[in-house]
Amino acid sequence: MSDTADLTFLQTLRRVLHQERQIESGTVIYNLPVPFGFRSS
Amino acid sequence: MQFALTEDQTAVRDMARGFADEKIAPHALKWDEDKHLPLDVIREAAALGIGGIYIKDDVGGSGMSRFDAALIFEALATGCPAVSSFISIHNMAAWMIDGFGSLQQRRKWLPQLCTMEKVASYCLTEPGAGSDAAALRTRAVRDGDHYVVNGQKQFISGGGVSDIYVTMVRTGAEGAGGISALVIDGKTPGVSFGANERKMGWNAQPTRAVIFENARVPVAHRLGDEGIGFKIAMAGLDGGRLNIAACSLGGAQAALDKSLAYMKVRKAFGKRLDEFQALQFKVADMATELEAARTFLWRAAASLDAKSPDASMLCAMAKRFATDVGFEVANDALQLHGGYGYLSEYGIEKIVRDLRVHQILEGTNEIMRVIISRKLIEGAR
Ligand SMILES: Cc1cc2nc3c(=O)[nH]c(=O)nc-3n(C[C@H](O)[C@H](O)[C@H](O)COP(=O)(O)OP(=O)(O)OC[C@H]3O[C@@H](n4cnc5c(N)ncnc54)[C@H](O)[C@@H]3O)c2cc1C
Repeated sequence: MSDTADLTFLQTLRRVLHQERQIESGTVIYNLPVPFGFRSS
Repeated sequence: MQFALTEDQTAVRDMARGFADEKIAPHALKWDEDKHLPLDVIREAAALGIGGIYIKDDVGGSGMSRFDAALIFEALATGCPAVSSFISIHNMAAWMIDGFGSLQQRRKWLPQLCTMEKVASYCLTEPGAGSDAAALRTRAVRDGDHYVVNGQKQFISGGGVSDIYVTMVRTGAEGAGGISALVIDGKTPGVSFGANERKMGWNAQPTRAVIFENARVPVAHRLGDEGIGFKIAMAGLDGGRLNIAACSLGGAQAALDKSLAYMKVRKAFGKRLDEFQALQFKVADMATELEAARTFLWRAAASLDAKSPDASMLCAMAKRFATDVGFEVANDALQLHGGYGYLSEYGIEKIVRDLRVHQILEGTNEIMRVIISRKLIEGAR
């Protein structure tokens, strides 16, 4: 489950939030594409 | 203590609500009338991660919490409680594999269950064992590396449509300690299904008996050790009860929202319905009850997430309370619509019919009181 293109909305949300927390704490500085909402592609 | 939803919880709820508004609500009445299970739409929901909400993500689950699940099932049920609860039972059965299966078993079944390419049912109830589920008689007798299963399960949601049946069977002596949990493929020779039951509500999903006649099931399909099946079944139901309670809230919230819209336009005695104080007080009480039930459900969900020792009791309390409140609110909404509420096209009577069964299944509300009082009395000893 590592290919972000295959992630579901909920998986992406969890990973992005986790990453944001890491960004806030200064450990990581990159971004995942976020296919938010089922309407967006 | 945190009473507001976080940003991510709000995003989860809004996503599910958006899906319910767009993909479920417009068709719910027709599905009910046609007794149609919309598997295509359900699979679209699964593509968002709703097929395995609290399944771990190494096998394709969303790895979210029970709390998140409560938000999702309430939101989906605003579109159709029957569809939302179908997905909830699938999640419950899949979680039993995730929670009690070996790594090999998890890898075998869960990826396809999370996408809902395959659908799972939960088989505990029998014709002679409903509330007293530990009296079940479906027997699995060991024959080499297989069990030979004989017996009948009753009232199985998704029966005949599901691919996988997480089935509680007797492998040992009488009582709860003689029960094991088997994952049974619906295509196994010797597995057959009864007729789709004609029911008051939940028409958008089938309910059938599942019959086992010398069905040979690999021993490798047993979850955990022999004798812990009842524990697995009850653990599944803790979360299942939260989900069913959430479905009641969603249905009732939709009925209240419809009532508020109707009261704005319907007139009697030269006034709009929402100008009568008796009716204003009625909607105030409906909203208050719903909010109380929702807050309590969230507390119970948080306790299950935290694996707190009183989680089972809180889940039983929340199920009893929210399903009773949900039904009462929906029934009051029907009354507020007058005769029109009794007509199917207004969508209210369907909600009343759907929510009625939530007071009966996943343990009747009397059995919830048995669970609660047992815990209270044990604590007082
Ligand atoms: C639409 C539908 C879908 C269902 N889906 C599933 C499913 O997917 N899987 C599954 O395994 N089951 C399912 N069920 C079964 C459901 O869980 C049972 O119907 C329920 O547990 C009650 O069992 P029973 O119908 O045998 O009632 P009984 O156990 O015969 O109860 C009859 C009445 O006696 C009361 N009662 C019983 N014992 C006590 C007691 N000790 N104290 C006080 N009151 C008591 C009950 O509350 C009830 O009011 C479903 C049922 C329905 C209607």
